Amino acid sequence: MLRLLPLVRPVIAAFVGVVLIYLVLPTFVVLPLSFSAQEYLSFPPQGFSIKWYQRLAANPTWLDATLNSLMIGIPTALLSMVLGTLGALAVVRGSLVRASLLSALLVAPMMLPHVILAIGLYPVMLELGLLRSHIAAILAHTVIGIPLVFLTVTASLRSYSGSLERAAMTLGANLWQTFWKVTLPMILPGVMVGGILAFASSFDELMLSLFMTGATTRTLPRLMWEQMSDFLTPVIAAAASLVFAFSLVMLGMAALLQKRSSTAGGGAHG
Amino acid sequence: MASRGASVALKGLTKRYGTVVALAPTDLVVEPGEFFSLIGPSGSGKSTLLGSVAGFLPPTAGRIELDGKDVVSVPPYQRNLGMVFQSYSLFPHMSVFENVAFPLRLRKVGSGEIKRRVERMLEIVRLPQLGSRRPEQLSGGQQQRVALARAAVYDPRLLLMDEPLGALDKNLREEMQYEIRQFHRTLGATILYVTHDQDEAATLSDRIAIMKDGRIAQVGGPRELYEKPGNAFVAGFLGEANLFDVADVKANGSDRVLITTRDGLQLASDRRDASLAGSLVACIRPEALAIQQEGAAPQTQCKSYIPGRVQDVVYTAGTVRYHVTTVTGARCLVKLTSQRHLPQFDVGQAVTLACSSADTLLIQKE
Repeated sequence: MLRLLPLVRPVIAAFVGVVLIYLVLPTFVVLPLSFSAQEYLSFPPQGFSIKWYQRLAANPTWLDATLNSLMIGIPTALLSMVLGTLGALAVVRGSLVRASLLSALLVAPMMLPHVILAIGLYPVMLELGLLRSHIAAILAHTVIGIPLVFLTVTASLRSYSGSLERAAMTLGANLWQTFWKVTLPMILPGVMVGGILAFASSFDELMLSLFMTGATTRTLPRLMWEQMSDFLTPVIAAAASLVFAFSLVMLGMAALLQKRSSTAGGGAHG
Repeated sequence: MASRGASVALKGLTKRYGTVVALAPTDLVVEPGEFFSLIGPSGSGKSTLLGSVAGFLPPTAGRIELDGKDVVSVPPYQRNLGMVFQSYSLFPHMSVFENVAFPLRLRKVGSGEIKRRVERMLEIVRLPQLGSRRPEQLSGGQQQRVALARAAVYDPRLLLMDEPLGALDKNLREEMQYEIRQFHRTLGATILYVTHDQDEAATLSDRIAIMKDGRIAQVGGPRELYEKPGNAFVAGFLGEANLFDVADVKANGSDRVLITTRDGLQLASDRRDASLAGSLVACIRPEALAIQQEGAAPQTQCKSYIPGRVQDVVYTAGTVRYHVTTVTGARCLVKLTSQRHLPQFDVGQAVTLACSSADTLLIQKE
């Protein structure tokens, strides 16, 4: 069909290009802003300076917020990896009667507005005396981290036949040995990718952090949010650029892992 | 090392899913060292039976005795049997050597002993040089040979095989059938083999159970099943059969009977088995029929003649198949070995089919 109209291809290509620019450009705007010589956040930026990066490094508030983000993001990732993997094993390999219902419930937090979760968690954490602690943020972020791990591990488990595990069992491996020696090596890339995504979503999360964290536990996104409303200097752009670079590295790692697992899984069915 | 195989006895083995009966109460005895196949259409219960023996499908009722001991409550990893799957199921993250060594490592065998036994096993399946390869670097046939080696390296006395050659193409399948025969002879283990390929089952097996709708329809050696099918299903499933519904059976001399089929053909058959009851079917194998020029030959006590017309002629390598419609409207298949001196018949030509009474079998419909 496309061959009939020689103009169609370039038109489609141009359209795809415009959409891509629309998708990516707002993210990249932050980079030139962070090197701006002006004293306030404005577009287009004027001049060139790295003073905002120096200011960022000199201010301990930013370092504290980064540490808070890591102290919340890493446990969130680990907890999500354990619980999401268990959920995926139950749904894909288990013999549950309501597996699809369970599966829907597990991914529901991804679809639901975070603000609802935040409002729900707030009084609970208050009652437990956990509000404004790292633990509150970790528990809240794990709710949105589990579906991410659940989805990637479910895909890993579906990529190979359960007869692999049955084979291990006939060969003498008990359930524990089968998991560690066969299942985990097969799904490890999926678990890792899910863990990276869970970490990234925690690292980036604002709504739950606004409700759960306090002055001593505030995360990077929360600090940026506060700075945006109070100061609006290119320091925020500098911080955002660093977060952006960090996220790109994680995205790259996730993509690499996924590529490796898809080539490794190819031989399973020969 | 060729330890004798285990005996398997199923007693009233049953598997139901809710109201669906996957396996009706089944009794079966497999002798030590026997090569025993389960064949049948999909959904006939053969894989359910195998899965129960392996330990993956807990039966609803009944006993599974290995060497006289009930293993129903024993988990799969403690049954000490070997299993080969259609999908090979080699561990892709391990080398060929490590795949075969896997069951030995679980059994805490010393590393020198592991090396010796894995290498010997890879020699038996004729892949001695490939230990360091990854499974994905091997062909399908090679992968299945590694799976055989892995399932047998710890000397299990019972090997289960679930359509192991189902994923291979025809030529490779025949080569692997030969491999599996050799393998069985070398090891002496009892083999319980599931396939839907009747030729494969006949080639490999000492005995075969033909299954249908969760039940064993008949058990016997390949020749016995072909020459003395117990019912119409077995006759039609194992090889080809011309089947005619029987309307009436009359004595015809002292040791023969005359069959009148529902569509009115008269067939001479050897004396009926006294145990036959209910609806009966006359069964004539396509190669038992001779085809000749049309001509009124007299019906005798030991020979039937069926007039008809050639509907189609199909030549395949070494075989001629005539599809003939009888005067009564029934369809009949005649299979002849292709030989130059035999007369040839064309489509539309009137012919007469002949069959001896010994080859006209009177069997149960159900």
